[in-house]
Amino acid sequence: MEDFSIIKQQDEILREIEERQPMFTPVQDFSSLEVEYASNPPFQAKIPYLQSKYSGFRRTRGDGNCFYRSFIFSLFEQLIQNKSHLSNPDSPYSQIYSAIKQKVLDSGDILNAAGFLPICYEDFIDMISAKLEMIPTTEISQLEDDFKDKIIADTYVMYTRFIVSAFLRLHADEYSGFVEGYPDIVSFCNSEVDPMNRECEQLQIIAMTEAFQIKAEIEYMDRNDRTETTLMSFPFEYTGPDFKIHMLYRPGHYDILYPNRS
Amino acid sequence: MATRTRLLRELKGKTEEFSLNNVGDDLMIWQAIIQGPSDSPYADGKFTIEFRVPENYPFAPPKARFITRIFHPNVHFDTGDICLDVLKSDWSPAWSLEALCRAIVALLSAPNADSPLNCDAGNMIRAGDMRAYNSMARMYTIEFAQERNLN
Repeated sequence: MEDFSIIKQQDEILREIEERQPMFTPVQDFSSLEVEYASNPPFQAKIPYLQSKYSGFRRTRGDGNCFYRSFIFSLFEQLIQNKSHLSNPDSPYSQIYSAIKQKVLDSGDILNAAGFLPICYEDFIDMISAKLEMIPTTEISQLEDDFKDKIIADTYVMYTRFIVSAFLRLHADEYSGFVEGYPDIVSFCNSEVDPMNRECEQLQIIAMTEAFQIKAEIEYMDRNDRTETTLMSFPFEYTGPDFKIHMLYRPGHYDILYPNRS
Repeated sequence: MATRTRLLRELKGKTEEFSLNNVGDDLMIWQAIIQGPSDSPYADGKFTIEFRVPENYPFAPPKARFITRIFHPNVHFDTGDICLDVLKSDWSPAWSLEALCRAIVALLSAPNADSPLNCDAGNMIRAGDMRAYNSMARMYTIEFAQERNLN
């Protein structure tokens, strides 16, 4: 019975988070971080640096899906914002858009090869394909509305979980040395990637950026005594179009960053 | 809506491995008949399992329980509730009702005495008294899960 009560407790914590935090806030400046870290000098000290590079950030719900959700949202948001460039083959946005559409089309075969059942993933691929096709006529506000609907938002997230899981399962040889506490990649994916609300560690971030071939730059804010956040870039080797997803990491949580327009 | 689409996909895509169907016109209640695995005391028993599908399926797992009475450490003897990680914390939309049937069959072959819903069964296994567990499980299989007793 103990098992049940732990799960019940976790459910309650999750429900509380869902009531308190939206899936995404509007883009905001960093003043709320200043309030949040008023009595936390190491974090406080890094805010001016963030302000020098980024105009603001969008908070996302801390329900364990934050990296996955921020990644897919930011990808769609940047493509929608730059939809006027999508028909120009020289634009990085158009190159990323074509590449992603192709990847989603191919993802059924990849998920199947990784051992997933078509009845389980087809609805997810169908929705993502349809949303991608609609990008040239979509507004940011429609994307924001999508992420106010829990089922639609969770469908975006689950699609990325499938992709990360399939990538790791199909590259088990390379990555099985990096899973801690699990006998193999399959059991790691079964427990840490496939279920919703499981947090994303560095291994999943590597898998996500490798599988999508999209670059993610993450500013790590932590307790060290420097006045700058630490930038890390994934995948480690990237030679694709000039397109990036920007994120802010604070212990246990990811949010989307918006760079200054240069 | 998405839930219905998904369940219709599962209905169309299922194999003949189990007798798995929705009950009447209701897509939200399903029943499966699983065969007790031959390497277990449940051999040649047939067990009916009920799935109650929630509105937010497949994001939330179905509630699964044994309709047929069974003596197993991870099944509640009176309610038939099943303690299985993929029905709770490890649930993922990557699972299906048919895949769950397979996981439940596997659970019959590999009882987990660490988190028992049936303490009697759990204690027998933890005490290493497999003979007692096997004969109890066998006895209830003969009494409740054999063909002649199914209605």
